[in-house]
Amino acid sequence: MTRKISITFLLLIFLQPLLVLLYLSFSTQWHYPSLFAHPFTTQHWQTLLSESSALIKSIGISIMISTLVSFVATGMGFFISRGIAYYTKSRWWLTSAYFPYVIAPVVLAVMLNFYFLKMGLTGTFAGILLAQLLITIPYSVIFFHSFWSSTILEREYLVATLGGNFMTSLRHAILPSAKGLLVVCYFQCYLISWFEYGLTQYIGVGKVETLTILVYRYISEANPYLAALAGLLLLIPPLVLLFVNRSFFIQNVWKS
Amino acid sequence: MLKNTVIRRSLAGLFLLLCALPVVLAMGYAALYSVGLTGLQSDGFMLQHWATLFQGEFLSSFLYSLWIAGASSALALATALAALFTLRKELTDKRVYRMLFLPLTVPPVVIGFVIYQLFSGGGILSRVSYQSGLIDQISHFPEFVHDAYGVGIILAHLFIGFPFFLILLLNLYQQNNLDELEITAASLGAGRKDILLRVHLPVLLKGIFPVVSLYTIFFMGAYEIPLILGQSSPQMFTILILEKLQRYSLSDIPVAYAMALFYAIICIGTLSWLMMQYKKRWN
Amino acid sequence: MNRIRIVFESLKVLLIAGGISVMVGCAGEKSPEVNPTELSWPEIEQQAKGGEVTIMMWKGDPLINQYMEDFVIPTVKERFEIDLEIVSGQGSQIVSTILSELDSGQKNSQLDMMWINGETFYQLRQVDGLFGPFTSHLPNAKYVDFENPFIGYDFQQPVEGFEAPWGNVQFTLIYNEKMVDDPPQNLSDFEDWVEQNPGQFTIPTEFAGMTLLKSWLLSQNENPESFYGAFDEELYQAESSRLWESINGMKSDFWRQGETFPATITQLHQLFANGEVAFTMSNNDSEVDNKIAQGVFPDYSRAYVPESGTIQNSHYLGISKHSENKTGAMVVINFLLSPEAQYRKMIPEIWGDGTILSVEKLPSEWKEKFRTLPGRIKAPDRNQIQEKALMEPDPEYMIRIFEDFRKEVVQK
Repeated sequence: MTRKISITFLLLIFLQPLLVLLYLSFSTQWHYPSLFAHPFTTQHWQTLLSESSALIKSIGISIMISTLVSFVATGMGFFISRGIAYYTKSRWWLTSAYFPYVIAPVVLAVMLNFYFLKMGLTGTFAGILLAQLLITIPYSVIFFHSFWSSTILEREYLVATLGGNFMTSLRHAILPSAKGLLVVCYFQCYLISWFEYGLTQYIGVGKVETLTILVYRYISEANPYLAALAGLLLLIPPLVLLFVNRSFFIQNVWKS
Repeated sequence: MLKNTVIRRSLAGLFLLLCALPVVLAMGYAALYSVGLTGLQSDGFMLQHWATLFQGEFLSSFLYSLWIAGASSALALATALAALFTLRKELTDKRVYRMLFLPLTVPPVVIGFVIYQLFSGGGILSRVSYQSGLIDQISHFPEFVHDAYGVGIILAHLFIGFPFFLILLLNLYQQNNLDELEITAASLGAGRKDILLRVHLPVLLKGIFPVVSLYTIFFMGAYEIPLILGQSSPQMFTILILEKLQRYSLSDIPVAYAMALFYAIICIGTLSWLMMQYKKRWN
Repeated sequence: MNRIRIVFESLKVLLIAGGISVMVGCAGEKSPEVNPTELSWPEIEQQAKGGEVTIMMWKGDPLINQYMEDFVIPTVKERFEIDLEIVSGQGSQIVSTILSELDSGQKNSQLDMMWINGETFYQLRQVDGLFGPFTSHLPNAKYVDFENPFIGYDFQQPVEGFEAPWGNVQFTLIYNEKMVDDPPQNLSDFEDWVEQNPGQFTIPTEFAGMTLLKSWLLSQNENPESFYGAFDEELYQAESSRLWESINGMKSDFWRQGETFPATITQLHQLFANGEVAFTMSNNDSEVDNKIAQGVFPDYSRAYVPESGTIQNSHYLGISKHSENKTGAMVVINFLLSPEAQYRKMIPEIWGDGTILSVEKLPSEWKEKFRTLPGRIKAPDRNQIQEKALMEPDPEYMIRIFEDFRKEVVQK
């Protein structure tokens, strides 16, 4: 019995951000000590639907950035890790792939800012893309590293012996097993990019206003209602991804 | 084979370009700036900025970050282990297991924000306490955010760390067939506590060690969460770096670069050391 | 098989390299801009048409943001076909952004104009980050009250046309009528009050908090005028140690026992609104009215200027030296200086920011409007507090106070 209660308790804790955000996004004039005595309103959600809304614009920007970044990062990481797995012996290759990722992204951004300025990439969409690629590609390389095992190598040799070229190898030997992993990596990179704040804020000079930056903006304006709304929007893609890919996550998450 | 070498070279080149070069460039610039060899305000080579790094607010900030990182990891691991041993049967149920993934969908920004709205003086829990008569004044509500121990920050990290460690532990448990080991040990007469301590724990800890270390480093470099929940002094290391970069005193900027470089060196050093340890054990 | 691999990989590299070089190319390709001050005003307006102007300003107040977003942005778009984009950043962030651009030899700044004053102006001038002099070329400059020392001088530095005044305000303290019977009138009054009412007062570690400290620094001895003029190291050392002593004496009775301080003025406003502290403060003397109108502050909030005086200052708009759209920035600034924009800004429900225009110089219809502006409700009357106005001292004081407050009070 206590076990059931514990599980329910855990579930509640995990759901609590969602609940708090919903609560706040429908509230206004939330003065102390009101819990339910203050007015509830849909006006914040209505501003979401108005076209000049900063929210809509930043959703668009965030989606574009995350989609592009995860697509490129997954693709490149896949092949780069193949190169490392097959053609290198030292484990330092893989270790060094951790470096960009393990230094907090915002610290990396601070140190690289000079180069971004020189290339004229600060405050630009392209600059943010590049900056986020610098942390997602290494992640992707690490992610795929264990995929390129001797089994896959043997299969590639088999295809080669039977007269196939690289494309055939891809289609028959590699992709069938890799499909699931490619999808998971895509989603992981998507999440990294989607959640990114520090690096995006610093290199973007606040000009590229992704959803996370908007959340902070509302927080600093002491507008918890819009911040909650933006937070809810931030939660939607990950929740959707989680729902759609449950089986993938269960099998593959621990590879990261 | 010639073709292999060409591929090898181009891939290695690509890898260097995208992964290693930025780090090298980053640290290079930071190094130059911090010793005064570049930058508008620079006066020439000086090690003074590095000297200030090991006193006063930098030292306390560094120690504070270590505390937050260590406490967050330790607490997350402890609670995950506790949950593993008490609720394992329930957790193998597919639906329950899936619920563990929920917190992973929450970004640090949101977690920081939610914890603030829940635990701050004017927050939800405070209002509940007030209305239920537990406190009669807002100032009597205990300090969870902007406090000396970083309780709010640790709670936020716990929210992310606990489920993730638990997922890993469950996987480790299965992979190492600890179920069967338990049965064998029991048939040999071992008591429940003994099994836990001597059989399960060592295997689990060894398996989860790399991830826990990695997460400790991540917690140390936390930025978004302490930005919302942290206190004035000492601050988390990353926040201090950004502050020094953007404060009024322009002479603080080289120090900020020194701090960033220092932090990068520590992270890379720790990671490399861990890698060597891990490979040693693995072999 | 391997040949295709090579092609694959090289394509990827080329794509990225190509992408980067295109961006760099676009960024570097700038037609040399004619110095706008050599053009006539109609030519400036013509050149500015269809352009984009980026302004970096503090975005911590929703009313100010609304004024910009609901009034300024659409109006400059409609009248001058300019796209005004607002980027969030305050004081030191503006300086560090411009400084890192200068550090990297960047010839095109991300920022065109910025909301600045005092120490920001000082530091930007030091690194030669501002474009100017430009204010005399603005048609609306003829209405500006440059003779007023609170306007023509920014923290003791002559403006010299490098920044255009935007608004004028005086620092006030805001208190909760229910929690404070007798608002303290000087620093030692505060020491007494805080001792008797522990946990209800604190100072934010940012601009407004520093202005309070400056007001105390100046007023704690009998002649604040000794602070006017150039920075005096000895004077600062002597007076600031007195100040830190007083504050450290009070510290344990501050909110949270003085172990942490709010990092932003917004946080302090929230503590005040929740009733956690009895005092907040603002550089804008009519803040209390617009916050009550917004429903953020409770009805029983009042603002006042203590007898010992507080600092009055103006805030300004500057143009960055390497801005790519100086003409656009000039047009926007000129608009912000117009009687129309200044009047609207002064309405308490909109912003309540004092004007820098000389009412005497305005055409008669505007004179009337300004004279009959709706008055303050809970905020102190402007004429009365004028007598208690202190001038802003040299920017070095602000920079030092910022540093030393952290060192001597926060970190102890």
